[in-house]
Amino acid sequence: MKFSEKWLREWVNPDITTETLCEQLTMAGLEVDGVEAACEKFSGVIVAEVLTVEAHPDADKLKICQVYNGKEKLTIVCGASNVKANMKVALATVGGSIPVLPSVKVVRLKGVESFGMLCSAKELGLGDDHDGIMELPASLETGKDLNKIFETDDNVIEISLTPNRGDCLSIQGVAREVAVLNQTQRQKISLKRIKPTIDSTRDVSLEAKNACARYCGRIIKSVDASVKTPIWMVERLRRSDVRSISIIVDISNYVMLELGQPMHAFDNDKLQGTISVRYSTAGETLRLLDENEYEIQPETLLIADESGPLAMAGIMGGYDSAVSEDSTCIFLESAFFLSEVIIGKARQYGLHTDSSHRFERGVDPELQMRAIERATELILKYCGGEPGPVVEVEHKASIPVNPEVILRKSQISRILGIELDNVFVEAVLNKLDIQYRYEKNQWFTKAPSHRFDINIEVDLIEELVRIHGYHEVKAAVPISRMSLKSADKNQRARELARSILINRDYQEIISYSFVDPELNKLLKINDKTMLLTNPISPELAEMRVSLWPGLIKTMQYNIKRQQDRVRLFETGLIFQGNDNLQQKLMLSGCLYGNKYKKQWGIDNSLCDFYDLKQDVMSLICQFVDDSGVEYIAAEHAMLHPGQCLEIKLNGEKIGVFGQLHPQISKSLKLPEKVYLFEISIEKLGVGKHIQYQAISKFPAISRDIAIVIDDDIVLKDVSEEIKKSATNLLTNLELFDVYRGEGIEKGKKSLAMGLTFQATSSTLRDEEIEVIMDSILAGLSNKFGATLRE
Amino acid sequence: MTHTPMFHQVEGLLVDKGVTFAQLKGMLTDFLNIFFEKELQIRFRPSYFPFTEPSAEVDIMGERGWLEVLGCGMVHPNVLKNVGVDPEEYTGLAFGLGVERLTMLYYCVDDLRLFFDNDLRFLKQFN
Repeated sequence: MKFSEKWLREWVNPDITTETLCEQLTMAGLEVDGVEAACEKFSGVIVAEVLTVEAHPDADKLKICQVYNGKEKLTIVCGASNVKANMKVALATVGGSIPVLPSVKVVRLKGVESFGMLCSAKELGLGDDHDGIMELPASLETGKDLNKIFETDDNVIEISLTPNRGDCLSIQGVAREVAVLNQTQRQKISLKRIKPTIDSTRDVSLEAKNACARYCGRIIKSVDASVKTPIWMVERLRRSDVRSISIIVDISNYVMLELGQPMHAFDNDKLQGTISVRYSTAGETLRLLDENEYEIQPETLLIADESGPLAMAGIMGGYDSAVSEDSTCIFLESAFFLSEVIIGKARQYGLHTDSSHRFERGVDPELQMRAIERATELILKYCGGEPGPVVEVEHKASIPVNPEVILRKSQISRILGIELDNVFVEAVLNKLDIQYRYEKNQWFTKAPSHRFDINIEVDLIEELVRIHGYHEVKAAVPISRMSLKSADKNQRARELARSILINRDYQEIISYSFVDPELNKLLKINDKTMLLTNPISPELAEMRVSLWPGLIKTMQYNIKRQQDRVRLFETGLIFQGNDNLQQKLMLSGCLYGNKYKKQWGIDNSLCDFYDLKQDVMSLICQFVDDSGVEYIAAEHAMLHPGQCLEIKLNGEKIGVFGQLHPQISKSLKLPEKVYLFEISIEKLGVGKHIQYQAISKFPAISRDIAIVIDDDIVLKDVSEEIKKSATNLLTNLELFDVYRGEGIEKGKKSLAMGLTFQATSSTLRDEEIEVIMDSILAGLSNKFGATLRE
Repeated sequence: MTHTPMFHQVEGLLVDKGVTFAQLKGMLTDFLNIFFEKELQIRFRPSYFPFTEPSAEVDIMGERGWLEVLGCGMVHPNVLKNVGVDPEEYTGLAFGLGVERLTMLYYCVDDLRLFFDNDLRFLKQFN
């Protein structure tokens, strides 16, 4: 909410600077968003009277005016089309200064000297109006300084209010706060009854009793709705960002800003019969003040008469029943609509008004009569008129009543950790207009109607500490009984994976959980994905089913930026399925580019499938024992058919890796050799729990063996067969050469392996090893038809 | 730019007998001073969250004035009740802080989007 500081100070005026005032408000929870001068600076601008207007002999658009400044007659050349004789205008005198012209001088315009300048509102920074010069009220004294008339030495303070403090959406509300904070008096506007001079009334019927608890209506006849709104009021409205429309509308807005009660004025001559407050019925339409026609949706609260809907209750008035400058008889509305009925309604129609904002946050349920009397007072003062009596219709049961709240003295220190003495507590309660009686260390309190946010004890405790000042609360240290817990399993796994991959020169990334459906399509991700109901943009419309799209996008981003070595990983959740959503924690990565950072002494080449496999294996072996892990050729829609392995742990699939499918690389304009891996963190465990094995004191015996077997037999099967024959004396098996070619039959290969044997209880003898070697060869021969290489 | 479609939040909750607003203030003041490795000017400003009362927003003094860094408060008695904790016996403190926001302040990063662009020239600065 924006408001004029002067206006506030008319209500409460502590002896503090603007800066201190703003600091106070902020620290009381009414955060000041900004303070700025209410007007741009000008000087030497006075009220002047135009005496005569003549056409300029040498310029069509210019006029030569004789203007009286209170002392003498001046010749002023003016280009505005609205300048006319007897008009009061704003004259920037020679030597003065206005925002658009720092120094006003005598100028010669097409041969005629001009001794000053007639200003538009915009040129003085007093509004957006620049259709001609500003016309001032005839009643203003000629020669008077405009700075005085417009009270330009004022500030506009903007506060951002939390949703619970709807009571501060008015000058009155902010003034209440300022008075409490400074322990000072504020102006109290009491209910001023205006005596009706006529007895005309209009019946009001509350059909929606649970939505509108009170409706005050009054007819005022013989008003002059064409008078100009006084400058002070236009300016106060402007400083609250409310545009001046016409005197009646301005007054209702003014009272809303002053007291916090949204009001509406109808042209009484356009109303038919009883006013009813009711919910919409099917098929109704209504043209609102914004001149748009709305199809009224169900459960919209309306103000209607016997001819149909007139206004959208608490949101905006209707166009057809609105007051105009020609209206002579008006019907004023000041009603209490329950916030739960108005909440969300305006937005449903794409509207947000000062009125809907206040009703959504909550209006004082006891304010309606005061507001209608205040508006009447202002209308009678400026427009004249004959007021009728106020018709007040209410539904008592729907009027919110603040409950009695018991504040226990002990609870103050229990919640806050500080002691507040009774004198302070009662001073705050008094200042907040909270009624109380004190009995046995308890205050039995009742908040005033505008503090509908105070419903339970802690609401009062919050008020106390807010007024006391959060900064006055001495900091303490939490004291708590503690018990130890082991770190989260997945967290530990993530940490271990991170350190391994970072040490292998990978960078960790975080990508969005939302992905582009187009990219998913391109990546051939055909899983059932979860679509967002309200995506931020079409490129972020789907939840990811894999971390790869994010990694690939990042890869693309970095390659485009001339990076020749990109190694990335991410850990995070993926979201599989739609109706039966499953979230899984994954570890994925991608790599491309030079094997090593550029350096002398190393021939660099591009990473290949085996670099990827090495990275994956070195990661896996930190988590689980090698013996349970298998790497098996597999197929994956996103990976190269011949360069894809599945990782299995004890027979269960825990991941996959391989080269990005060439078709995908091509369509994404990525290089060919991009590699990807994906591992389930949940299935990986938390890291190996290593158990010590006794070291043998006896020497080991090594034997090399070279066999010739069919080319399609893999090492894994061969070594398993060897282990079977070798008993537990075999402690190591290494493949040190694979040979195909001259000397070896086509379709066969030679495998050279080193075997190490060791016993824990004795020194092995050659004879024992010979027996084992024979048995190994026999086994390989039987199983694979292997022969010893000559 | 201070908003992206995704961000990270650290939430803290301490419920016990004898937990107070003064403790919340002490703990978060210590945290901020330790995190930023200097004695900061810190203020607790009254605010509103539906799930805490009293509620506060915490600002630290930056080069260009106060900067909001986190929200906190005493757990609302209804929240405790709803999870079967007796608010007459227990009180709680709670806070939530934006990881990106603190990171930006700590490392002088001026654009939130950098965290999600994953430019290697950015990432490698933190090795």
